[in-house]
Amino acid sequence: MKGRVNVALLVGAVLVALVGLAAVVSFFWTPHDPTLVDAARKLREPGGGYLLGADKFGRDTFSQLMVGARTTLYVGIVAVGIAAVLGVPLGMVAGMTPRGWLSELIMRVNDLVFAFPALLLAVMLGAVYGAGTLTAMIAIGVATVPAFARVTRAATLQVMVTDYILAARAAGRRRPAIAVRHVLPNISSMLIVQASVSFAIAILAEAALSFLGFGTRPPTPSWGRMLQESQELLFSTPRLALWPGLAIALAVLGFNLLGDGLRDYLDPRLRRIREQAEPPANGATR
Amino acid sequence: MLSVDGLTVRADSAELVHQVSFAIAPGERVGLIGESGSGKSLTALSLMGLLPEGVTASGTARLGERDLVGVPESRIKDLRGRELSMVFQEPMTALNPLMRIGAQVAEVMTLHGRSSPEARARALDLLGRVRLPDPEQIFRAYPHQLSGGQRQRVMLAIALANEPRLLICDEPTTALDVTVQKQMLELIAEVAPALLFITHDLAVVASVCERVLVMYGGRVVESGPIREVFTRPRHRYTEGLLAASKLTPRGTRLPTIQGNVPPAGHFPDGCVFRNRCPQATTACEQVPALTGDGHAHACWHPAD
Repeated sequence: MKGRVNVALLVGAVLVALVGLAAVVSFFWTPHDPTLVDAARKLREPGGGYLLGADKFGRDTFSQLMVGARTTLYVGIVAVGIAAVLGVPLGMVAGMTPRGWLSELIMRVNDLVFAFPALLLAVMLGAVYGAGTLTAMIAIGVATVPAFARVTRAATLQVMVTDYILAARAAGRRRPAIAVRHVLPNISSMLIVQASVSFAIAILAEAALSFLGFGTRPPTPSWGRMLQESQELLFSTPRLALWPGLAIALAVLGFNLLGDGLRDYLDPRLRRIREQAEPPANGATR
Repeated sequence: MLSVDGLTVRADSAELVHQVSFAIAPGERVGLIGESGSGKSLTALSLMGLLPEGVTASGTARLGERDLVGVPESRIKDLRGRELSMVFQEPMTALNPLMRIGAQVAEVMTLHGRSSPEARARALDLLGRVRLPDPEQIFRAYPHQLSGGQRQRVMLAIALANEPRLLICDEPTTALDVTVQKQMLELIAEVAPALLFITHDLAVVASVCERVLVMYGGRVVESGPIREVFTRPRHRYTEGLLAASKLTPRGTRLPTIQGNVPPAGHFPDGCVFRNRCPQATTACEQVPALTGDGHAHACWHPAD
């Protein structure tokens, strides 16, 4: 693998880094106040300090995009965090006791949640607890738990049949210790890939929810709401929809490519093939 | 020290190991031989309490005062790795690929109550004791940086870490080169406190063990001092095994045991070997008992 550049990984990492950079810089500096409404700048064309122009309220589009990146990452991190914190332990329990009733219970409830559309859950939670970024994040996070639980369980099952787990048990290690010391590190590569892909899905979901008015509340800038606000001007001023749309597309593409690239890089099967390509230490003799 | 009596292992309806009994005295090295599917690995795993799910063991096995079979796993956990430990067949996969060697050797000691600096010092010591070159470098290495023979030495170091009373080796040299194999066997024979050595390689068992148990179809069919069993086999299966492993002059056919090992649960009733035995008669429809002091066999028509 060394010496050959993984293009997907590289492009994905660059795109994700760009989003991250925009989000971090927006804390210290934006060209203009992204929430400042100014009728004089209404629908101002790009140029003259307004790199991408201004929207129908006179807010600077570029500044809004930068702060929107913050919202996007915030939602992604919290949603994936919730999904991982709940899904990984559940998946590991299910994977380490594959024939137990607890495993059955976890996986069937998992299937139940899996069958429930994430957006519907978010709209429902929004209707009950009030729409907002937090509600959206929790809904997206909970809806992503089954994906994490499944991937974790599958990876755990693979690790549990290896000899080093048997050896750890033979050495007298207890289950929780085996889980933390031996299973978790060995499934982490798959979890990183899953996190990356889930992040992309969470970004899309947040954009969709904000577009529907169930996500980030005004005045906090959000790419999804920028799209919604530009909707009526789609034919007169298409650039207002173009930039947030492009930002969403590139961020999602970035995280998906990153996930794909990481999968190629970290996949245990590929890793095993690479290991076997090394000079075999000792041939089998019968 | 270790006494096994009437050990039976079953999965669902099939009986995989039937009424196996043997004993190992302190310092004694006992071999367990038999071909694939004869139940030798299951016998070892049931002593460790590591049988796969859905497979259960009954009978009694005692290490000193402690019961090993038929007790909840929680009660034998503190024995594993301390009183009895095991070296597995595949050195390539038996080490956690993401942990440094030293940490894995030290872990088994901290687990059973040693302080961590003490465990580290002793781990280094153990790596030297299993004759690994440059223990300090190995201590910091990851498993993929070692050869198969080196990894198996590490496994042995882990198994010996807590000075167990009994060491179980499940085909520890099968995956190694012949030259490495020889060094490994000498090392095991030297450091093992008491040994249960599982293999299908007759030459290996002859070089390491003092006493041997021959298993076929989940039963012990012959047992005794290695020299006697190998020079004067009584059971027809042992006889066939030995004939098949002898060097024969070029141009002559290699003697074999006719037929194949039946799948688990499909061995004939009576003597398990009778469908492959050239001497089989109707008497063999009855189960032969393992008889004889010292050198015992379970056969109706023993050789000589």
